[in-house]
Amino acid sequence: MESLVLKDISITLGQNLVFDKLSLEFNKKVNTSIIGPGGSGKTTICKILNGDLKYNGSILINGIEIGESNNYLLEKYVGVVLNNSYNKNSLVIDELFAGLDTCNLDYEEEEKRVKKVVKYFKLQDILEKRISSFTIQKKYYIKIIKELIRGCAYIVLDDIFINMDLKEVKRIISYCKQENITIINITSEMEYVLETDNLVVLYNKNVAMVGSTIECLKEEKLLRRLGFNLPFLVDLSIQLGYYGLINKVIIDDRKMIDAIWK
Amino acid sequence: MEIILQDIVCNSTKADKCLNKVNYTFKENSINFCSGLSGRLLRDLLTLKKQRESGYIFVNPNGRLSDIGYVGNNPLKEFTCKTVAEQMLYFKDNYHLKYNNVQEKIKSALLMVGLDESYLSRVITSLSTSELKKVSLACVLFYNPQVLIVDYFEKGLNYKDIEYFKKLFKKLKIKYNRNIIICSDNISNYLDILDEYVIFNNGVLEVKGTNKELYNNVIYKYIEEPHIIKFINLVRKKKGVELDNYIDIKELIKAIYRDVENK
Repeated sequence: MESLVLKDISITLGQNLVFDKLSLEFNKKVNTSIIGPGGSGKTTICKILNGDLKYNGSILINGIEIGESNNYLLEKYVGVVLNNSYNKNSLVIDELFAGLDTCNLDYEEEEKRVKKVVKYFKLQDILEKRISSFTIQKKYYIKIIKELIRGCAYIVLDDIFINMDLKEVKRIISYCKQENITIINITSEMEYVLETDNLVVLYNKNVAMVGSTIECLKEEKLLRRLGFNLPFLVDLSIQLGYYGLINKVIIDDRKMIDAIWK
Repeated sequence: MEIILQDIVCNSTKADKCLNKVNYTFKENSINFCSGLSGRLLRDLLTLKKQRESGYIFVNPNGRLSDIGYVGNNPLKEFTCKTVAEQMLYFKDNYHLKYNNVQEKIKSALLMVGLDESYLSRVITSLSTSELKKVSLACVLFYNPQVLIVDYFEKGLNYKDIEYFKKLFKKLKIKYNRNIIICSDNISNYLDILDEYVIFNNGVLEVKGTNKELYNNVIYKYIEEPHIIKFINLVRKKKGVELDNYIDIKELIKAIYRDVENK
């Protein structure tokens, strides 16, 4: 199976040991959310995958270990969108083409890709606008699209969705599904974990829990102890379960209402 | 400290940085939720970093520059020094603070945000997003402003941290009579602590109200509707069940149980 694997990753930043032999596997076509308390290394994972930090351990893409000689594979397969300031003065259209700079494509292919995302994300009216004139939400939207246009196998988002409209988030997820791009979504907003199949919980320099999102969320007490809340409908399902009104986790409002008031 | 905006006009290409003849009062000793208006713009207007096109701002009682505290969504932008301790001392010099025991003040500011003194020697660029936000707030609390403006502060913080800071904001309001202005697009996190809300769109004040008026649908034309409010409205519409205007999931659960049991 195609996969992206972090194996026995250890990393120290300054005086702080961030990860102690952390291992994670992200299978292709399985979207994953990563949550963790502040300082648990969520952004560090992004920076490692972006090639920004040196680490001990290995990264494997489809079984091939990434080293200095084939580091380009990491850039090719994994797109990373960091949650840092994005205040470019360039036009949207220029930014989209700039996203393809490292892809070594001919102009026709570049144009084809740009046209495709412009149509899908309905960017026609803003192509000639400057990034710096946008709201934070819009800037992050463009920043993700700029990464998606490269067509990498995985996209890693460093708590980006929290800055965006839900409609835009849904559109990005649906584009990734259509284009077979696997999402690794690092998030501090629990509602977004429901958008992915798997959940990874980081704690104390390593992985505290990993598995299907709904199964992990059922570990309500553990999650609360680690400082997380539950998505509204999951919380409602579990609490109403204690009252004997619901016997499973329901994540759709209408289905929930029908289940309560039969 | 009361802040009165009277016929304020500010021009900008950014929707959240313009104001079009706005009249609004941020009452003293209250927690205001404010959406569609940049907290940075508000800070800059109050500290005269930005000049308005027209209109008046009244601050009552009159204050000093250090009475306005600001914590942004990207705290790295606000830091000018290498370490946390250096940053705090920078504020001390910048605002001419005359503290008898500076070290104690620094430690207590860190303690208020849940950090210990080991953070004093930490290099700012080595801090995680949530640590940066906490340190940024500690720096502001160190110079003890009358008004605290927090801009998208909750972004990147987890539930436990957000709850911690909500308690802190409440304490600052109740115990120390501070004004807290929360600028954000996510009202869900603040339903239980806000006193008043005001929503702007393209520089126009569209809707304002108190914590008793959170079920006003007009608000949610401009910002995302909290899931609990959306759910209760849907229950009313779909099943005709008249649940009260709850903002606490525990109260909602009890009400659902009572309703189903009674039937």
